[in-house]
Amino acid sequence: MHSDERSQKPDPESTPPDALINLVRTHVGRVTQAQSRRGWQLLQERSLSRKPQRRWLVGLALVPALAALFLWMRTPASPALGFRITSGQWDAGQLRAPSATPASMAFSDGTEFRLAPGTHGVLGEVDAHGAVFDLKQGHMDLNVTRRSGARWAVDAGPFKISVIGTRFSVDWQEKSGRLKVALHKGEVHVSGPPIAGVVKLAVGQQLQVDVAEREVRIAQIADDTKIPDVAPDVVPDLVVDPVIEPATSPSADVASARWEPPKDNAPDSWTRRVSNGDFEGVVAIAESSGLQSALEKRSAADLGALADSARYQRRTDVAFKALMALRRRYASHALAREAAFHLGRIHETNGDRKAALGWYNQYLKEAPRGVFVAEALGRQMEGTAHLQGRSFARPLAEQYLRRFPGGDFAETARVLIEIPMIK
Amino acid sequence: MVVSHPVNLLTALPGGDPDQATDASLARALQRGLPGAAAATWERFYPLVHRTLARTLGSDDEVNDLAQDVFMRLFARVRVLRDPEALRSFVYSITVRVIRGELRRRWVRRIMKPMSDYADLSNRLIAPVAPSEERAALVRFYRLLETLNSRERTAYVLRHLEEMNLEETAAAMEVSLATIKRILARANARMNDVLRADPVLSGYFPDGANPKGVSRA
Repeated sequence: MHSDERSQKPDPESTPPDALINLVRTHVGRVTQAQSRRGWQLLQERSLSRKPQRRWLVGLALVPALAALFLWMRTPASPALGFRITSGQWDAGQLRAPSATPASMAFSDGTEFRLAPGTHGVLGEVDAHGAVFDLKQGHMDLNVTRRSGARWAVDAGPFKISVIGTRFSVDWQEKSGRLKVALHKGEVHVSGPPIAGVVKLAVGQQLQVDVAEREVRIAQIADDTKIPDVAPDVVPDLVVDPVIEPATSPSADVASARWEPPKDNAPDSWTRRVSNGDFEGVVAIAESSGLQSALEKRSAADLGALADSARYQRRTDVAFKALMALRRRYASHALAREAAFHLGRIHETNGDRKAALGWYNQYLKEAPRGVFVAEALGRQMEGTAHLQGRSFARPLAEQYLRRFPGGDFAETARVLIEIPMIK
Repeated sequence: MVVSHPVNLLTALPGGDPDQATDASLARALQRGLPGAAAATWERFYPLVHRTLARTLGSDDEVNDLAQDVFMRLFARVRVLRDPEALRSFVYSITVRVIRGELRRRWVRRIMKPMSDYADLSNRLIAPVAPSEERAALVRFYRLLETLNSRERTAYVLRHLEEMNLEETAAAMEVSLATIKRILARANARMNDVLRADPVLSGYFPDGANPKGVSRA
């Protein structure tokens, strides 16, 4: 049965290698008769060593807890929301809109997500109160049904957009580190660097953040860009109107520059191929035309595209070379700073925590307000705890919590700070 | 103190030979507190519990204690088991709860403990007959398994190492079929990523190179 199911899976990549699984099955977890006998003896000793005369005391102490447990068990657990994919490509929790058509999904409480063409993201935990959607790249519109206890969120790069019940759109360009959130109804809270604290958007407002430039703007949405109740097939790009003061003023300066789309329309553009999801093509072209030549001659943007494509293709050898070329040839370029972070990730994945720490340190020095700062700091904290111990990691944990109290590594940071040191 | 091996107690089970007893009759015997029922349950399920704990946790310092926790909980709670036929699932679900509790505790401890400590523990758990190259591969595998969270790790082991089907895995994890599919998809993708990135373990993929010459079991 098991093997049948595995063989029917459309993507063989999704199953682990049988040879390795067989190796584990063969050598791990064997039980000898002697182990079984010894275990049984220990179990009996453990049962006999209990002190029954004190059980009533324990029982008495447990009364409130048991009462609470009883009440909890009597309360029927709310089932998680159901959902269905109404259009687009769904694979292992990832929803992807093809380059020419949108994707959409609908939840049992009436909430709807609509992804513009070329957008993709991952549906995280779904419970009775809502869900978390990790927008990896692109533009999405959300129509969240307002109800008591609803909890919805969109993660976009370093940003978290918390929703209660509303209609709004999110646009996240991972490559450029630019976020746009336009609110049409209800209320959303946006947090994440470079926003200090939380920005609460009012109806009709649009937040724009450029992570690399530390630029935060809140402007009125142009009337013709407000999305209707049923979103159009192709979502128009939003136009920025004159700046207005935010409800909660972010720390970064409010700039007046307009957003500009990437100016990269060359026919052989690797960045364009990446934005179209053609990662294999980028790596193939680089290799067929001579990888070394590409590393020496290609632009910073192309090297960045090659590094991304290679990472997505698990070609860490190519990614490593492209990132190193970026560092060597374009030392002052923003992509070279990001390369330091990605090099750290490659080393960490390969188990070389020490080298990874070096690159994370380098990235944090070069890009103290960069898009990956939260993750780099979190990983630096974890790596330091592993390699040097908790006392060395504690200052990093404090720093992390000060800057990213709701970040992915916040729980780890709290543990490092709050749990007493073991002597 | 009376210490008896299960085998000495098995004959007390109704029906004579406990090896022939169904899970349901064993569960009913446990629920009625019949002598020998606990021992027979241990005999039948201890290998399963120990194996699942060992394969999920990858370290042996607590597997024996945790196995005993599982049986203590089982014996204490078997009375609430409504369907005696489901004894095996019941044992699995208790084992999964114990595993997840341990992984949560370990998550906290891991921050304070270098990875290499776990590698050594994994090494002790591997059967002594395993060739050294395979031992090294297994140690690496368990190091990479640390990259999964407790739910993903447990689901991954139940599905692939315990050879459960999706329904069984979902039941043991006490989640819906849709949820277990998503958990497994994430776990598979993450593990395959790190396995492929590993210079030794990538050789276990059918299309992968085998740079270290590790033999494939």
